Amino acid sequence: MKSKSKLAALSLVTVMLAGVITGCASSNKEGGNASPTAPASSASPDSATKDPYEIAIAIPVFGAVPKDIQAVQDEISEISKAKINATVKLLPISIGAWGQQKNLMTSGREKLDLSFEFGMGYSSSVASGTLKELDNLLDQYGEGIKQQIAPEYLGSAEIDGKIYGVPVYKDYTTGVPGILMRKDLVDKHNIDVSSIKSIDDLDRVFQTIKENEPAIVPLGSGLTLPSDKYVWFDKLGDRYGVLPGFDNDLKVVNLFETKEYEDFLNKMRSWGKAGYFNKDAATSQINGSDLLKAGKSFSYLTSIKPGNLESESRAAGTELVFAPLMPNIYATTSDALGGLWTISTNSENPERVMMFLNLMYTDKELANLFIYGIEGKHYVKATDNSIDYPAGIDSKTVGYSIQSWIYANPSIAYLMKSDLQEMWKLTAEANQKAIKSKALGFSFNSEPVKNEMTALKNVTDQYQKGLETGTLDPAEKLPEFRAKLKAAGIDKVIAEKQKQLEAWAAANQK
Amino acid sequence: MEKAVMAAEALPGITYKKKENRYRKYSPLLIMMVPGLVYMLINNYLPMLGIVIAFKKINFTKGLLGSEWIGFENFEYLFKTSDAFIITRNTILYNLLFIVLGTALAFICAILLNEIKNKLLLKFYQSVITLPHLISMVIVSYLVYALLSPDTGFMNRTVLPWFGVEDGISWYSEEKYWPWILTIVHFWKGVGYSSIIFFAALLGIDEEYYEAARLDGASRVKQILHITLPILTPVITMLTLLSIGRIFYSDFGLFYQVPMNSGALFNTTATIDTYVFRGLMGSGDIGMSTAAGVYQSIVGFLLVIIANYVVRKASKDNALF
Repeated sequence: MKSKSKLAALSLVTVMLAGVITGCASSNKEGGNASPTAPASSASPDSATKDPYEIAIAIPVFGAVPKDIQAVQDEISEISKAKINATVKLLPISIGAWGQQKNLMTSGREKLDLSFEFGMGYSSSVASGTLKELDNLLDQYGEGIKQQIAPEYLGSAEIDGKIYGVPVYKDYTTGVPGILMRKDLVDKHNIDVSSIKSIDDLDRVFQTIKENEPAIVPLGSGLTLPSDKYVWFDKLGDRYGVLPGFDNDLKVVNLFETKEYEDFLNKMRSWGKAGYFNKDAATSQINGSDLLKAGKSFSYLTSIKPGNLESESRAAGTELVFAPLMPNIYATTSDALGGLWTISTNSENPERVMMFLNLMYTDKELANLFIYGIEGKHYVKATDNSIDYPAGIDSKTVGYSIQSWIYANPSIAYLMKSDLQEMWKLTAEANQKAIKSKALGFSFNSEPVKNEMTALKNVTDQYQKGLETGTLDPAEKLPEFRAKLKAAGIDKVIAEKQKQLEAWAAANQK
Repeated sequence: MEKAVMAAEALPGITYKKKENRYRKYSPLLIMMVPGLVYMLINNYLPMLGIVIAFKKINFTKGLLGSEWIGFENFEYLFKTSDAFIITRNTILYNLLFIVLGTALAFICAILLNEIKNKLLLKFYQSVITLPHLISMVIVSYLVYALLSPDTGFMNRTVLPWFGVEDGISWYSEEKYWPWILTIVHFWKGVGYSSIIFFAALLGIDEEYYEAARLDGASRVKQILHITLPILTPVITMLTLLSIGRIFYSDFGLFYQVPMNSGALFNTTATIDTYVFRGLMGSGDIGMSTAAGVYQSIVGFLLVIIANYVVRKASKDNALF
């Protein structure tokens, strides 16, 4: 009897556990040897394109895979076939599986040539050896790229003096930090937008809203924090060790120990106590613009780049006005490296892939196809330089679309009719006139201090959101936060960063 | 399938004269075992080779075997942190609570279910208590949020005003409530599912025992204490032993999603799994995450061996192996 019930239970447990265990997938593919082939510098362009080649391109998709992707791929292939005797194969990968899938493709030696890469994953991808060095290829086949991307920005993709990715062409600056407010309420309460010059001027504005509009909160915060874009320092990748004023003579300091940070927290606390934030700001998974869209808040802090005001207004579904809170815009490595295009170490013909990448930066027809799809089917021309969806189709029903910011050079493509038409002119201006951070081009390699980084990440997760949304009292919690950062080894990270920065400065004669 | 063979061996009256004779006799059973074994081998044993990742600095170009060995470097971050104590304490204490209380609750649930004689009602109750198990933790976290949201939550809006608390409690920044909240959520979600095993075991108990007990005038409670409990002891021991093996793991969804990853609650909600996830989310270092998994499973493995040894000393019948 006893053994029988034990048996029955054992088998039941086995079945149940099997259900648990099968949930764990494993990545156990074994990589072969890579033989990095140096580009044959003697080959003439003609012999380089003699044999047909298929270029596999991985792109992240945010949502369903566009249903007409095959048709677009065929059209792209037609262009590339004529120009460089290569066809393309688009590999759309869902954003949720993006990083893992790409690592698996690399270690499984699957066919992968060209790929988008997020700036924040770039240095770890380089460290784990998934990307090809591009310096020689760029010199040989990247003429158009070098014309499009100014050397200081192209150089910001350098790691240990070598380039592994080409930055997407965009606004490479911090943008203008400021506040976006609902225009209807600004008008209703006669708020003088031009008098807002710093965050201290916002007290008055928020008070007006708080008193007169009880149904909404003055400032929405959640997934995005006020300090995300309201920055007075170069965060050097991760905020553990920053350059105040984007210069500070390359002396890295602990942001959380600075007076400015404490003042900022006190300001946030005063707003929090006055009820200017949404109550669940410290835990909300909703970003500022969505809160505004849902009619729950009056404004949010962000930074504005050319064209952003229009797109943010469109996303919020109501007209917004912008008041800048800081005068200058700065160019930093983190901002320059939003996204990059990289060549995989799996590629068997990196020369041809670089030729294609060069086309992505220079060929207008290719850019339009890649971003908007096929003319007549996915878009129609509205004016000479702008387009619209065909009749009866909108952004939700169109058969092909990708995020235009992942494309290598969106500035040569059309703009949507609703976009700011001078956007690319203004972008070029902004990139040119932005004050270059003294550390522009420097990327921090956190590998030597990865244990400390893990601990620091947990400490900041614990305190930062609560403090920066005014939920926690800085008088009580900031000393605790600072002490825990010290215990987690922030000083070691800063020392390491300082060392790397000095080495970088010496190598680049800064 | 192994159990089937064991069961066959346990049959009385069979003597084995020759080895081959025995193999021939059981060859159908052995063949039936093959698919299961192959599955186990591929799905459960082969991936264990991945343990080497924990000791390497992974470079995808060099491949898994070609990457450089770095010894225990990947493990350091788990111990060299000021939070090591908190996360280990939370993981173990919550799991101990879940094991002890969970067994008791599941057992009580199963007995109550067993008392229901109406088939239709039984099915209904069973479905109701098992249903939460099928709900994803992300959804559960929003159900909890609907109760605890500072502005619009049911607790702050409706329940607390009944008791005269008008201000409400900001649940997501008060760490002291969370051991309770997490425990309640855990059992609400899991107790029905774990009671199934006990319930199945209960069904296997011969009705004659109870009949005899009733004739002797034993009350319901007496029957449970003196018949049901002793018969189920092996099952309870075994389930406990198995859960001890997972004592260093935590239900990631419960500890990460349900508290909405709120920083103010970390002292009572951070566990080894959430710590590793938060720390490595940015860098995605698979060496370090594998190290955490290896650490958890080796400690779990040792604990199972030790616990089993202790049980074996006390009562050989109840031990797992």
